[in-house]
Amino acid sequence: MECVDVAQEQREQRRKQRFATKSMHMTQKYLRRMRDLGGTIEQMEPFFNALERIYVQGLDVERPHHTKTVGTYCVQVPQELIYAAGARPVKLCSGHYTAFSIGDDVVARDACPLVKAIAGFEHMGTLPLYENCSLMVVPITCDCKKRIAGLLRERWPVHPLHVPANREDEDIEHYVEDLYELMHMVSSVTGQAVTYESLANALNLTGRAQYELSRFLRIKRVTPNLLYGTHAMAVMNAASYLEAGVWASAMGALNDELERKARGNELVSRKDLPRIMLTGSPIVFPNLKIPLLVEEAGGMVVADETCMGERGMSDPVVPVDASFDGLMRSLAIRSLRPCPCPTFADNSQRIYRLRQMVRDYRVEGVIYHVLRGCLVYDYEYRLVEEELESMGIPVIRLESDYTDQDVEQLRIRSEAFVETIKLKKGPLKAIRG
Amino acid sequence: MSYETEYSETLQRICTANAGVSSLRYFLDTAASWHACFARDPDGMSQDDDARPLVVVLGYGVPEQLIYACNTTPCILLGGSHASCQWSDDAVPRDSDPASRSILGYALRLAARPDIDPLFVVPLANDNMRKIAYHLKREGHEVLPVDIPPVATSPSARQAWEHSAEVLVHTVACHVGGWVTARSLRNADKLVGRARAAILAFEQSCLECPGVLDSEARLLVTNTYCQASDLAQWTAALDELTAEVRARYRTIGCPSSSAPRILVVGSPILFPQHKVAELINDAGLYTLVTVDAASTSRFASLNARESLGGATALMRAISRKHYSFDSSSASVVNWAMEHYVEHLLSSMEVDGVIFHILKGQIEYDFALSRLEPLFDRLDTPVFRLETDYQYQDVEQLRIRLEAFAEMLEQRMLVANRAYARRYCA
Repeated sequence: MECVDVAQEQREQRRKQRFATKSMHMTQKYLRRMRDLGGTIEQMEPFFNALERIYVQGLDVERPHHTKTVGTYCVQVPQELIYAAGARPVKLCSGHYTAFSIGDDVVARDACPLVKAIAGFEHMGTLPLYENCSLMVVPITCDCKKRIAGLLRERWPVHPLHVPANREDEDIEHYVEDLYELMHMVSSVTGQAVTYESLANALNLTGRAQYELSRFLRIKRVTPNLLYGTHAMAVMNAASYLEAGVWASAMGALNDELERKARGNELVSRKDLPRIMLTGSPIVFPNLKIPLLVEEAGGMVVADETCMGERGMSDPVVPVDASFDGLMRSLAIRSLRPCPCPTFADNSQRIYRLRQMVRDYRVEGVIYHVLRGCLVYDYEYRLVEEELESMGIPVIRLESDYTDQDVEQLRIRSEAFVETIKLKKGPLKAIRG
Repeated sequence: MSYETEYSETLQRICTANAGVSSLRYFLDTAASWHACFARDPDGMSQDDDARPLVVVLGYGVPEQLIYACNTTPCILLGGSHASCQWSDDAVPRDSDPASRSILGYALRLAARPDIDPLFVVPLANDNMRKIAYHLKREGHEVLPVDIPPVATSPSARQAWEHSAEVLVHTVACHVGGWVTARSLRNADKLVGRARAAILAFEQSCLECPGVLDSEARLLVTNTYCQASDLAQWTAALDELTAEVRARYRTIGCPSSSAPRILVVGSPILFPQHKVAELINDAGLYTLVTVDAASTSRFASLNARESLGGATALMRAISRKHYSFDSSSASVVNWAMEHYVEHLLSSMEVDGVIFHILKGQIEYDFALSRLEPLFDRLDTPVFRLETDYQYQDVEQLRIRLEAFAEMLEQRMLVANRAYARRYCA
């Protein structure tokens, strides 16, 4: 009997080893493709290193000894509360194909790939980023997140955070109550109470990161060809695994370098490449195939309206009341009011934001990314298409999964889309290449 | 297949199979007249200046007592029609589930009618409902989205839910021009409570008197609860049917069946889409109980002590009770449904479980994976039946169901032989 147990354990170990090796190779492949794109600069390395540390080296996030990590999903969890309670927030949304292939056997077939990847990591239990979490905060933003909260609570302490479907004053009031509950929950995990000072410090910490992000976006808006959109997305994805202060410092250095390059007109590509914006389902590292395909096809991803990109951190907290409750309210308002997440029943916000981004970034085409099974974004496609059509902006819906099997099909469609925009800009130029 | 053909064929089949039960006619007529309203093309209707206010509830999730208390009868849309899915084809993505498509189809059909002024109450139990609410609002209709917090144990969730219920009552009362008092709430709770008690008594009598009504007829009867224009009359008709079932069993008697007894759990099987119920019948399986999103709410009526107090207290009591028994897909874990299944499995002799999952309703897939250890422990075979409202998969499902039925029969045979051997020894 003992022999059988040992054999089973060895088999399981080998399986985990195979999984770790495969996932390492998969991540390395995408990091390599990103670097092969060209235009990487030294100041991007801290971000790439952070991604490499988690998925290639299989290490946990860098943090002081005894600091606990709290896993979060979606943009509605205020990171400030977690910092204020003395913990490190890490975002656990994943774009990992290897984990997805495991999760595919664990959860419902029609669940979205992002949730399958989460379930895959949960099932394998090999990624320190997940394993070391002392608490997971799962905002209930869609059916898949709702169900994954139920699944994760079998292994970790999970706090499901109710995100109201509306954004009226009463909904904000209830959300404030929910944030207080969350605050007590995180404090009970860390053993450290959230005080006025700690919350204010946390606001300053994330505020600095937001400032650097806004600087980055401003630079990109004026001169998008200073760096590839894929790299910009990787930089923003890295915020999930770096402490806000560290990320802000690295971002500051990157911004300084980009400003210098802008002054010297050192661009990574021609200025007249079709300017593409990405929107729709989240594009989470290492699943960067869509921006990579677009840029490999000769397009330039100038903006992304996804929750792992600009949307994730761009809205600042604006306290109007300096009391503790005022700070909590400002966190609740920031998390709900400006958020263009399709979890909200009425999401006209997203349309306004898209229109504004199209104008700000002088977008010439929009790629609407839909992860298979991501219903909420799919529902909004028709509306977005109508709006963009009225602005004369071509839009294409690309549905994908966490697999490489659809890459060639997606490549053909991306190339055709980029070519269409080129033709629209100037037929002769496009023909001459 | 046209909408008229779809529902009339199902009605015809039920009518033929249960010809001897005269009290069933009321329910057949109720279903027929309700569906006939949707069969009329709204474009052909004349414009009416005095549009009648109507409260339309999309799916499960709100306590209907609160609407009855406003002195109006809700029109509850649950889906169930393949033809009505086509009415909403342009508004929904490919992967949305057929029940939501059908609900939106019905809602759009109602919204286009010039003779009614609908208020759409949309319980936001899942992603589809959230986006359907937005779609209807954008089309210019009056919509009341009712948020259902997903964690019933949290105090702030309970508060938020009670607040939603208060807003619901206020909005419905304003729409229909009604007035809600403690008395109207108490009466509404009694009205709904009596109807629910009648359903439970009917189901119990069907269990005790097997063979009088087939499972399709039972499903139709419980479905018409949402289609009744006069709930008191409907309850009286159900009491009459229950009495007739018992009387027929006593007087005529029905041959005792050795068919495997099963529980049907998961996505609701709704009239007229009785494909699954028909296949189960054809495979020779006997459905003991059907557990779906409406099952547990039948136990959510107030007791005498809870019925005391003013209008606000009653409103809160009704909403709280509903929330704690809610087995819709709103919660992170559907405890109500899981506990009910566990209770049924431990209190009945069940030979197998059919887990019905409509394509796209992932909540039931997750519920199945949570319930599988229980089925394993009780050694109850479970069959996952995934389908939609199309008819292409009928033959494939028939083969699979027949194989499942044969397997259950074999198990019963082996168990009986083992019992006999033990008895002889």
